[in-house]
Amino acid sequence: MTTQMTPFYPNVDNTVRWPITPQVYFEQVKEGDDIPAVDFNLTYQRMIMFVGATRNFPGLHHNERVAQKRGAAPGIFLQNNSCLMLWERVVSDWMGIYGRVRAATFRITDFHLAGEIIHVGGKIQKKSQDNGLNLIELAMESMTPRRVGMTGTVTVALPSLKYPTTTPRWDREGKATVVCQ
Amino acid sequence: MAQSDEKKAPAQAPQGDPNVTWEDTAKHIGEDYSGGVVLVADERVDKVMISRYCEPAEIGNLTYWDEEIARMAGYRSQVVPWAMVKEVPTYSGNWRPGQPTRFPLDADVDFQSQLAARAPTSGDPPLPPTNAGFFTDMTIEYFEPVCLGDRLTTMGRVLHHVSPKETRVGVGAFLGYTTSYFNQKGELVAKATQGNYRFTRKAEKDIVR
Repeated sequence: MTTQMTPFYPNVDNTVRWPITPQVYFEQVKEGDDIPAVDFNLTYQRMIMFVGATRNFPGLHHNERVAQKRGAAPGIFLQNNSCLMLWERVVSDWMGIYGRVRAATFRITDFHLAGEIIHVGGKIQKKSQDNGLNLIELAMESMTPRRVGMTGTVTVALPSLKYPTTTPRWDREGKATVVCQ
Repeated sequence: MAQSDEKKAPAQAPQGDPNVTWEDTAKHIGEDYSGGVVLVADERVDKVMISRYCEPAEIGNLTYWDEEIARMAGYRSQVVPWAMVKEVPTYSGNWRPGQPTRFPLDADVDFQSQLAARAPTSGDPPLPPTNAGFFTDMTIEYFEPVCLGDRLTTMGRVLHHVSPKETRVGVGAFLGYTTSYFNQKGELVAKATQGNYRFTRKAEKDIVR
């Protein structure tokens, strides 16, 4: 007697699985506004996830002995791009699917160490319309439990209420190639 | 050597020339230290690369996760997060078939293997002696979006600035190099100036935590 094997393949789900967060528009924000902050709990497991995600494997970021000897650090600390990932989360969640980052500048001023909670927030410090773009300059800051751990700015191009579903684009000179004002 | 003694040992063998000052180094600002190498990423951007990148910080912008939403927002396909552009999509592989092992059997447990090339480099300008260093700052501009299937190229490593300074951990200087990143069509996707602090580590008792 033979048994009939019936393969089972689940139906492919082509539907959108995630809710789209509300879009922020240039006209709706003003200088001095805070954007929603996030607290990041840097557990050891998460530190190792950051190392894998960035494929950045120097021992400074996963080996306490190496961090202390070669990095002059108390222990393992986030690699620079992982520090920027924290800002990416805060800024990208806020700017929505039609916002785009034009530029970023940052300086790391303290180690982001395993076991710490890092508070990341931003404030709108400048709002301008340059080269056909609606630009928002965010003053960003990451706070470690000791002091400011990273500071700088992220400049975001936002859509306008007039063109609510247009993602800004620009050329090498930073001039808009898609009308969004 | 006991572990506690190891922590007090010099960070690493000094590198540099004792006859060179930071002012000498600064005379090389504007020179290219890429050696003319054009570094082409081994791997094209794919969905897994993006998802793995977004997971640790729980980055939820749907243009990074959902192709339909990315197209709706005007992109060719799923988008690479802006913080990721000059990182994972620009790397070469950590090991490939036919290459020797990166982890020799006589390596100790803290051995630091030379893995993927991250930037074209032909070394540095003349530098004073230092025995430690780490990344400090970056300024990056973005241009064309990077999407699924793109293959990035990294070019240039131009000395941008040299700023001597004593800090909590040592005495040295901040150095910055500028590099540009292009897609497979030759379109500029990003231009970044990265800074790092090269320094002579202070004695453990003098380091301010």
